[in-house]
Amino acid sequence: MFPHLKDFERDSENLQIQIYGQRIYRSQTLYEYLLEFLLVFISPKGESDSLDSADQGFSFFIPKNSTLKYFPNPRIGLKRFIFLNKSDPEKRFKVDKDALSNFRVYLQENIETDNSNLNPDMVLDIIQDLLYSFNAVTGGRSWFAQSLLPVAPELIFCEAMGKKAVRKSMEYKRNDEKVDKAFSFTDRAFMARGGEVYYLHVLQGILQKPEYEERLVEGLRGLLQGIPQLSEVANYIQKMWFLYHYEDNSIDFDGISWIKRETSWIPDNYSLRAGYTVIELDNLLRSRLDPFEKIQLLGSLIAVQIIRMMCLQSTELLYNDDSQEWLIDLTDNPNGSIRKMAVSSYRKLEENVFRAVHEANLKKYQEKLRSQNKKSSEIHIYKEASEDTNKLVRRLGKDIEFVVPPTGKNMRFTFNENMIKLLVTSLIIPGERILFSTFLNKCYEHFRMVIGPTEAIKHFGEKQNLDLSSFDENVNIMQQMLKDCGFLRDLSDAVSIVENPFV
Amino acid sequence: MTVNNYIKYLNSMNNANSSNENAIAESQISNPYYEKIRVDRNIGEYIIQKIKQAPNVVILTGHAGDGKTGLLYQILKSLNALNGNSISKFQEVYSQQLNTTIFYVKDMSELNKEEQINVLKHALDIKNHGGSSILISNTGPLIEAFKGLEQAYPTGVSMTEIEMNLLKLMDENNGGIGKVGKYDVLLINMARIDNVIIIPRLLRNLLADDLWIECNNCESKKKCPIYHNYLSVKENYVNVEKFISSYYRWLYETDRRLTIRQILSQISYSLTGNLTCDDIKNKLNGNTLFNYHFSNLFFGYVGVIKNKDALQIKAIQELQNLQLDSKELPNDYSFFVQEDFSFLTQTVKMIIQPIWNSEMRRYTTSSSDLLKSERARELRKAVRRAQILFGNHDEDSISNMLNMLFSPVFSEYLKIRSKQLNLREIREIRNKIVKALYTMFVGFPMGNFDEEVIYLPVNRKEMAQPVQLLLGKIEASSIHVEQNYITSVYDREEGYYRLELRFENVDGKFPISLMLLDYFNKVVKGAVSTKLNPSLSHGVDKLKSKLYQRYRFNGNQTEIKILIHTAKGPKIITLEIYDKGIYVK
Repeated sequence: MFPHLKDFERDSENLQIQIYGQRIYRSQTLYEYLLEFLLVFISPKGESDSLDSADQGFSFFIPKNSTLKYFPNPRIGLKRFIFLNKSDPEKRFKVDKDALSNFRVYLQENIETDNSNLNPDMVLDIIQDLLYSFNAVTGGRSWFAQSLLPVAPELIFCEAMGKKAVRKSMEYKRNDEKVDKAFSFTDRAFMARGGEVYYLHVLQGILQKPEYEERLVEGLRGLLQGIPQLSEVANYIQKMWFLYHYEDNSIDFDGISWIKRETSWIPDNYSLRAGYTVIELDNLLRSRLDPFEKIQLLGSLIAVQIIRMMCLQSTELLYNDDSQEWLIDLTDNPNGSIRKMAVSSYRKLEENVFRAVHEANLKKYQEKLRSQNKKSSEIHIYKEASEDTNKLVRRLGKDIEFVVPPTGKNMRFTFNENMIKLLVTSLIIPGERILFSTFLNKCYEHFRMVIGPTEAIKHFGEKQNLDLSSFDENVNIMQQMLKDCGFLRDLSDAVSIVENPFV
Repeated sequence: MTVNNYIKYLNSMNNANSSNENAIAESQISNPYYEKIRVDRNIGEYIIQKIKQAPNVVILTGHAGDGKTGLLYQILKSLNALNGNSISKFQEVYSQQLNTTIFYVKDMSELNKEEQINVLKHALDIKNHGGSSILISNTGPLIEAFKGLEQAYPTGVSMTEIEMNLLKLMDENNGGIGKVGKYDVLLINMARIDNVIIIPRLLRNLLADDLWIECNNCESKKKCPIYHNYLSVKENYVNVEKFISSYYRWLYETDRRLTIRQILSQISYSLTGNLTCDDIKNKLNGNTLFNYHFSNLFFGYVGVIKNKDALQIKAIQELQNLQLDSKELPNDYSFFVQEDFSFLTQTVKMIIQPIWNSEMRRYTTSSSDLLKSERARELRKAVRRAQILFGNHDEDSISNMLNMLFSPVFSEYLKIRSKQLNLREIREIRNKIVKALYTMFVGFPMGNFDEEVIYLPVNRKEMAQPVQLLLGKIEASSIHVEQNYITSVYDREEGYYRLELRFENVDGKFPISLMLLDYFNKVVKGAVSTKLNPSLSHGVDKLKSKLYQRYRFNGNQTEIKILIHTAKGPKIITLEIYDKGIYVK
């Protein structure tokens, strides 16, 4: 396991955690992986339980023999200001509504305008609209569970759960710490931690390729701190909330301006591709893209890498080999041989990802469940495991349209325009041009993507009766797609180059 | 019986039939007609000059059919270094004119691996003895030969470097001497050379009177579609040449460039339909003049039926993809409703109108539906094809037609390429571009109330937000559009005018390609979906990121500018944050 945690009882965790680490969980959305990863990155962190001995954040901190602790700032006042009156009215509690309306009155008192068309209340609406325009995950959620795109570090919020039973009965009072504190920030039973898993995986890569540490830090800084005005506004609102709500400065800010969170561990096998992960991340971060597009691509990249990590782990456990190919079907031919192979290859992939769970210690976990009087039947346990393993791969894949169709049978891998862009920006150094054949080889080396005949032979071997002409067709379509996206140029007869133009 | 051997030659130049004996270069060259239709290319003169100046290693690469062998032939011939009309696989020849030896390799891929390395070594070595070499190679064997050479005679250069060097030279293709590992070579990538410019000369050569003398005297000429095609094209030469060149230009600008061989294949097929003199005398009957008319053949039809064999010709395939004959044209009404065919040239009118008349009789006497019937629809398409190629166009009407067929800005683009615009024309284009940039950056169209300013807000591509953080702005007065003349080192005829966008705060100029001009036009017209063709979007994204860098407000970060889009136009407010308060301007 990484990091190596002594005396850690891995075998009593559920099966999917035992195999894939602590933990990748079904209900996390695409952006949440990214946001959680960035949250760990920007937060102060260290090995000790105390914030005082933590670093400054914006760092890759490698823990030695204990878990990594990080200390994000929940900024509940700011979060309430941005989201509360744009959220589902059913899920707004009186305590928060009162807190916000009192706070807004206070803010208004501090706004001075020389524009007769604008009153302070309108100015607040404008500021709120501005911040809210970066919303990321909304879909009918409560205000405290919403988030923004990571356009400024202050706008990356940590997950917070407000329990209805608690908040419903609360009354708003100034100086009452519970207004900000009565949330659960660390409820491990509920929270997904995919972004933490990914952060640890990046650490594995940095251990192998230390020269990437600084580059990644700079790349992420550039992404997050490009628009300092947003930090300015966010900091102002949060500061004013403190000034308003906590007149009494002697309170303990633990749980208000920082909370402690702790990452867990991931399997050692993930490090087998960690070197690739940091290269891909670095290439993408260095590509000069529209910031919003980069954020979107980064979200997709993390999803693709996580799927790869899980495939890697599954076949390493089952066959001692990173042998799970991703057979990409670009043909639009439901009866073609590529389609058939891609469908059966994907089916096998899900099977493997799920089958690997059987390598875990079932007995120990069952014992633990029994001792807690929880359901401990094998069927139930494996059903749960499937949700967090093969079904999760499926959902992530579908979210980024890497796995099609969205519903129904014959699932398989394919590429859309975004995937093509992702591959080019993550596999090629910005400004670099490589041969198309080299590019295909890189797709295979990094992700075990089989697209053309060369990789098909390399992966399946000469013996198999492969229909190579259909791989030719596949690779021609790939070439045209790259060309249509402006990444490929024909140099002369049958030689084309692929370029990452974002330099 | 009269037989024109030239017809046989034309038939051998395309791949729509099985007996394409001349489709490869060397058999072309040995044919006596080759000398008649051959177009001397100025790039040949360029290479000769280079060899005259100093010993050089010239490497010609490019797609099959780009005219590499033809170019070698032209060079050797003009240096008097050719024995008859034939070219060997590789040979060292002596040019009296240059007083030097020239080593040439006709095609590296005809040699085995060992030979490839040997001839490459020889080609590189000969320079040290004062000679020059010209080496023709496909890219694959070229890369392999250089790598093999490095293995056999190491110079301490890595294989990746050799590959990268070659790719770079091929991509840049700037006519200069570049390095491949330790060697200096002049690499010319024919695939990167504008070949549309030679079409007028090529077409003129194909129609040269002396090649058609036998046809003129032939007893079957009245029923001969080939002869009528010759007459039709000659009669409307200016317009045919304009349309054909414009079509190839369109493909070139949209990244679907054809090789000379592919172009020649389409034109020669369109003249003959691969009919022989024998066919015409003995076998043909019916509406052959119409069926095998140039306007049908050029689009891949025989009469109103798509011809499968013709689709073997890439240029025809691409033309069918464009479905030009399904697009509405200005004279549709007079043709299809008034049945007035006077817009067509005389020869073509005499061929088409009788077909139309007899076909239309079916619809007055029977109940089949003129609008819905497939047959009638196909016939209308055939009439459109004739209209496209053989209408009595003047300059305005052909421009108008090209706009309707390809893109509303296509004629404008062709004009920009070919002549200097006046200030008023440039100003109009500039104003259009400013409007387009506004919409692209702000997410809303520029209203009449706006000052001449392009705002640079933080804007999520997928949705335009009414409240945006403003990062900077560009005074429209700092945006310039210039028309500059771009020359080619190889060929003065390749030169053209190009529109370039320039911003006062940004170094460099941004060329406006046909596709970009088309996109700007769509944005200004308010096209519903203004998603940019991805191959352009990188250029635009790069431009955007430079503009955001250079036109950013500088100074106080606690001053925050917000752009609000109201019904009365955009408003800017400034928030000044200080200590506990906000001051709003």
